Amino acid sequence: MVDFLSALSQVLTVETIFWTALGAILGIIIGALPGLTATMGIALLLPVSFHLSFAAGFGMLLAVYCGAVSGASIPAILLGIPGNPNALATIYDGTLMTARGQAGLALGSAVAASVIGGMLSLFALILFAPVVARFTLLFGPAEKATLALVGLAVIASVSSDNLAKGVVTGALGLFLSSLGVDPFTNSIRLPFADFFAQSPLVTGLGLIPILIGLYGISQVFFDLERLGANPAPPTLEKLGGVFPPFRKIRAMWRIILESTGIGTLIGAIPGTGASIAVFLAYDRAKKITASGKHGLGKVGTGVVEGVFAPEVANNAVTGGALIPTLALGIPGDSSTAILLGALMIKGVVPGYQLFQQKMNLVYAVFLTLFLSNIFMFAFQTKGIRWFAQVVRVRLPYLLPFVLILSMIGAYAVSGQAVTTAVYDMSICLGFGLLGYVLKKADYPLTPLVLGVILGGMLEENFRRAVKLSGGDYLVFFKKPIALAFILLAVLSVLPPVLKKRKG
Amino acid sequence: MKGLSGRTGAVVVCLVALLVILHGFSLEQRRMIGDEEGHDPGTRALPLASGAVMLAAGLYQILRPRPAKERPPAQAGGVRVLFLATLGASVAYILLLEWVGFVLLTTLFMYLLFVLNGRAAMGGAAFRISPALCGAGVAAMAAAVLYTAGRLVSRELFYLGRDAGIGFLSSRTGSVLFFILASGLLFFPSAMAAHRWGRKRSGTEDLVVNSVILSNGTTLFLFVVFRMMFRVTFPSGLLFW
Repeated sequence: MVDFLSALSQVLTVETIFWTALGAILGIIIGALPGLTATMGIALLLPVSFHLSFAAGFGMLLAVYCGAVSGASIPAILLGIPGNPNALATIYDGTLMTARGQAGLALGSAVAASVIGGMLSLFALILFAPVVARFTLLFGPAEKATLALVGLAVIASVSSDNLAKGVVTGALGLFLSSLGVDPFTNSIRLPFADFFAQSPLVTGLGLIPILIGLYGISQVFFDLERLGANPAPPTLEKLGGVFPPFRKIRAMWRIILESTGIGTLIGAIPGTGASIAVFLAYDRAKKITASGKHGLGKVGTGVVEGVFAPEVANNAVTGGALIPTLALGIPGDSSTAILLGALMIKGVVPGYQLFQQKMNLVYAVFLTLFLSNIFMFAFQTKGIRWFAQVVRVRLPYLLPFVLILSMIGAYAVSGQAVTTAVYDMSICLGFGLLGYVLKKADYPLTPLVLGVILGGMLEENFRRAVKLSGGDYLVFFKKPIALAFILLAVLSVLPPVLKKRKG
Repeated sequence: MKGLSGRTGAVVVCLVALLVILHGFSLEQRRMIGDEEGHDPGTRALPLASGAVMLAAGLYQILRPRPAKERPPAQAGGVRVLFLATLGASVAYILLLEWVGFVLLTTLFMYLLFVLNGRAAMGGAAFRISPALCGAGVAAMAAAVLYTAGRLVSRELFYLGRDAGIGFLSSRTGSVLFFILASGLLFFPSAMAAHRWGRKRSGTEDLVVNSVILSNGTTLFLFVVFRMMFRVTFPSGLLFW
């Protein structure tokens, strides 16, 4: 109770409420702009959170996350272009409704579905995260090392249709995490160590410049190709009635519950993310409504149900993805990978100790996620017509803004020391270029990010486990949980391999 | 860069992996303190392991390439120039920031990018260089004026507040507000007037006017948020006052 009240006192401040509200607005705008993703939005605002209290900073990032996932439905419904992959399945029924003059109803349904999905998954997060975290009490160094391996293996296998490419970027991320000072021996691990010994590189690569570079700058470089084909800003028709009637929502209870379940579960599986959940939920809704009974319209024909299912699912992913992030330190998707980075930068280490010793921070996360959903709903409801105008922002004006925000964001991390800040900016630009090259070559970025984030955990625990076992490298196969994790890692990479063999 | 998705990319991966492995071997193998028996895998373990995994995955891709996929069209010449110009401008921004200063350089950098991107979006429409060059000068001058106005007003009021014991005037909130007020009072009316003027002109002039407005607006926004609110130290450069 004391922890809850402490969290409440952190959340119910002008600072937290202001930044969370601002995060929700920015998130919706970012989501509504085609090409900008929730991950990119969180990465861009990460340096801002650095200057705020924990609740305000993390609340803002969560609000960006929720807002961007929900806001992506705006261009999907109005233009047939998803703001980001989260809204891919919303296009089908959304565009049909728009063509029928029901754009307002489609947008309103998406907003209502988003808040329902977000709130129900928050409930799942509150319920399951402490249970999963308690499980980590059984973890020693061997289990922690193999857990990091599972996270990397799962993400490498699902983030690309080519497993080998996921493995390459994951391994590259691990290598990059090793640059700097060896945590156990203090020896410098850098190429040309004598040359770089006096440079800021000696402390390793900063996580924030890497994240901003990979998700912000690389996207700018990537989108430059779209400039030539920049379409004229769309003309928006007058938006009609906004919300579906309550009895309609009540009739969709099964779609809502199943979509929430799918979203939460998929979100909780590391490396999966909303783009998978939305199609599964849409497919389930299609089956549920196939008979046309219970007053439900057939999904796929331009009905509210077809917007509701994917929108409930993609917002349910937000709570689901936070379960392994907070409980295990393994992010559910690329957005939560950055949120995990934000936690670590704030000195918050996920796992059972967080739930045991810093429960007030966990409550603060729950409360700010609740607040984020409320703000996302309120702003999108009140500003539905205004946010719909965001899709008219032209790319030539948007890209330079994202580029400078990325670079100044990276600079601001070490904002009191100009030389280090300029160095961070260079790292950010370098990783932007690397991200662009990797994207062009179809190499996924998420395993790289996860490698950088989990590299420390993997190495420290691997070395500790081997040392404690007296140099026995088979220790990982002798402990049941570690062995189970290894099997899980193998199982996660098997389906793509088998699929390829079959193909 | 399209070739990097196939075997060429895999060769590059193998080369990078070999460099990582070489780097791993070049490291002094040290073990953690208190590990006299030498059970710790040591400093080299992670770099060597990650290099080995990369090499294995790269070799796998070389030996067993995926069936050829339909590739996206090659980068058009115009896009390549735009990409290189953006990259070059970004590198120049980093190199010159400490010398030219945040306000001036950011404005010019943003102006350049807005003009370049706007020109690319114009497609085949005629673009004249002289208005664009004039625009750069105007953007830089406007940035200097806006910064000076905001700085002068907020600083003088800060001193006044400190001497007269008026807390609000010498507070951070007060400084931010007065800076926004002073520079905003100059920026918004002139931006609106310029925008109206630009809309009546040709494509290039309209683009230049919009770029001047947006570059100044962006710089002001970043300065207020990061410098005034979050106290990030930006190099003053040429605008040293």
